[in-house]
Amino acid sequence: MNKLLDQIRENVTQTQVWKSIFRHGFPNNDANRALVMFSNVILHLHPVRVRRGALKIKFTWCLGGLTFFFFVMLAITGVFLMFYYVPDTRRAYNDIKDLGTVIYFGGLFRNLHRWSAHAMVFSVWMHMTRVFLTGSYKPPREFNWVVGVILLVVTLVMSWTGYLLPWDQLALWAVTVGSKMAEATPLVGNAGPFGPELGMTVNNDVRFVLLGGTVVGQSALLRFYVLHCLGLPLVMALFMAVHFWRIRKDGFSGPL
Amino acid sequence: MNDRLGIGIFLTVGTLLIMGLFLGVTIWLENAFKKEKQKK
Amino acid sequence: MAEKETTLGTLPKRDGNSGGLAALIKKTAAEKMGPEDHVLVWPNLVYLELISMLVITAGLLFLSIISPAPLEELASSDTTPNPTKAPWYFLGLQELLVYFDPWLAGVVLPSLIIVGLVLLPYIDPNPRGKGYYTFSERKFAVLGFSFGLALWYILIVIGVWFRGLDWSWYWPWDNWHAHKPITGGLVDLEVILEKTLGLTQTPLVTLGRYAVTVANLLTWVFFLGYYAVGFGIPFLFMRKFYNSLGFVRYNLMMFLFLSMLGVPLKIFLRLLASIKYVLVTPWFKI
Repeated sequence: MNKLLDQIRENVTQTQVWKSIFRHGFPNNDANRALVMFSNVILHLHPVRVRRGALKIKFTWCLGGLTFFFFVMLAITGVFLMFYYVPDTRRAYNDIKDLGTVIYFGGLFRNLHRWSAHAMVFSVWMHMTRVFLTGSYKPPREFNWVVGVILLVVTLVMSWTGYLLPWDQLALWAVTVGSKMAEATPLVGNAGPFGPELGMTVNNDVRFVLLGGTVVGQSALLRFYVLHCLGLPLVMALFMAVHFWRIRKDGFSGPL
Repeated sequence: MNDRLGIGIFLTVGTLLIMGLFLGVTIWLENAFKKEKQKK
Repeated sequence: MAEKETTLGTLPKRDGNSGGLAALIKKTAAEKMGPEDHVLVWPNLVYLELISMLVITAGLLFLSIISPAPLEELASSDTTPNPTKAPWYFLGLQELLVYFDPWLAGVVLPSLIIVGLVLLPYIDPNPRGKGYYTFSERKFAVLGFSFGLALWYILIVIGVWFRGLDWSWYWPWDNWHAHKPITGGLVDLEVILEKTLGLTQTPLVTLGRYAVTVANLLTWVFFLGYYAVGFGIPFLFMRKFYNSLGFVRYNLMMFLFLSMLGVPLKIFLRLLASIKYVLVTPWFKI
């Protein structure tokens, strides 16, 4: 039996196709373990070797990695949800309702998406706290902290834009509260300091730009949908690339 | 007014508690890593 | 020491794929360390990541099953829920709306938080405490940061669990279905000064819509005085602290720090001294 398995493995791993994909043997010796990391683009986010101290869970609490994991989880469940959702004020609410009642695993995917979003917001905050407490933002990593702050803000905005999509009372009024604040922006909001003096009205201020109208309606739903599913994830991916690249280049600040 | 005093106290105590939590965790981890180093 | 200008000609000719750059880059502390301090990422780190992902996935699935996402009635602008709450992570800012006008609570203060976070690595010149947990070597930084965090979290806690109908304060043992009486009695600092000091209400000067009275001028003195005293004390009496930061860093840091302290200060002025606004102009109120 073992012989048969060995034979099958041999036949698979010695083919031209297999060898063109995997340029290393099975990682059961150090040379191949290094090659795995070196020749795989995703694993190459990591170095081949890492200091022993960097593995301490008590140091990182895995928070940065988990934040990224939540992002991946959100992307996967989000794509699934997009199949069943139309950002139309006449349809959106029923689409969400169908997720829980008609579509196989629809409710589960929505719940996973929601919990991952909450978890991501929280883990981003915790990750920032950890990085602060270990002084990991100190030179030469200052700029990566700045990139991290941008990612934090994008995470919050992304979560907030997603909040509107179910188009229920909770969504509408939470976003209404938020957009009330935009109205009060100094200089560019119609209710903000020096806004009226600069000619800001409900039809041309920053809130109007955000909502695509004077109330949270169809244009706002479409804007939030596009930002939530396309615009902000792209921005996020771009800054994540910079964030990870910098960590890779600067190395880990962990205990020696 | 009594309610406002209550809110003020709640806010103060709450802030101090959360601050204490962060400080406590930091000091705990500081000592934990120091001990680990000494062991080596 | 002046940096030698690097042209393509001065780069070492043969050095892997980096075009000779690798030879010029300073080695990091990690690279200088011997192999005995290092372990292979596969399997040590990759397995750790895999395990934590599996554990978290299990946790998310568990949460998803026991606590489904809410879906309320269809959105309608005819019926306004009471209270209307923002998502939990913004409730701290919404709670600030009780104490500050929307332009401050919703725009300026969050912007200051973001600016402060961005500037943080540039205004903290302390070289110690890099790469390890320490309170003793950077007391001010850790205290200041955890104070800001604590404020952020306690405001969220209040917004989530202590605000009910009409955004009134409800203790857990209160009846959450009965409206609380609207408590008024808030006055502007300007009016308090006018009354207690018996100041005249005729304006000194009128700038467009802005009638500047003596009391109003005094509130400016109080407001700017807060920052002036705050900037002044470390500058005069803690020279070591000032010198370690330098002029630009000191001013940025103190402005952000005093603004952060100003938030709970204003909250207490309102809660305990019934002051609505500290500073009133026709364009903005603080």
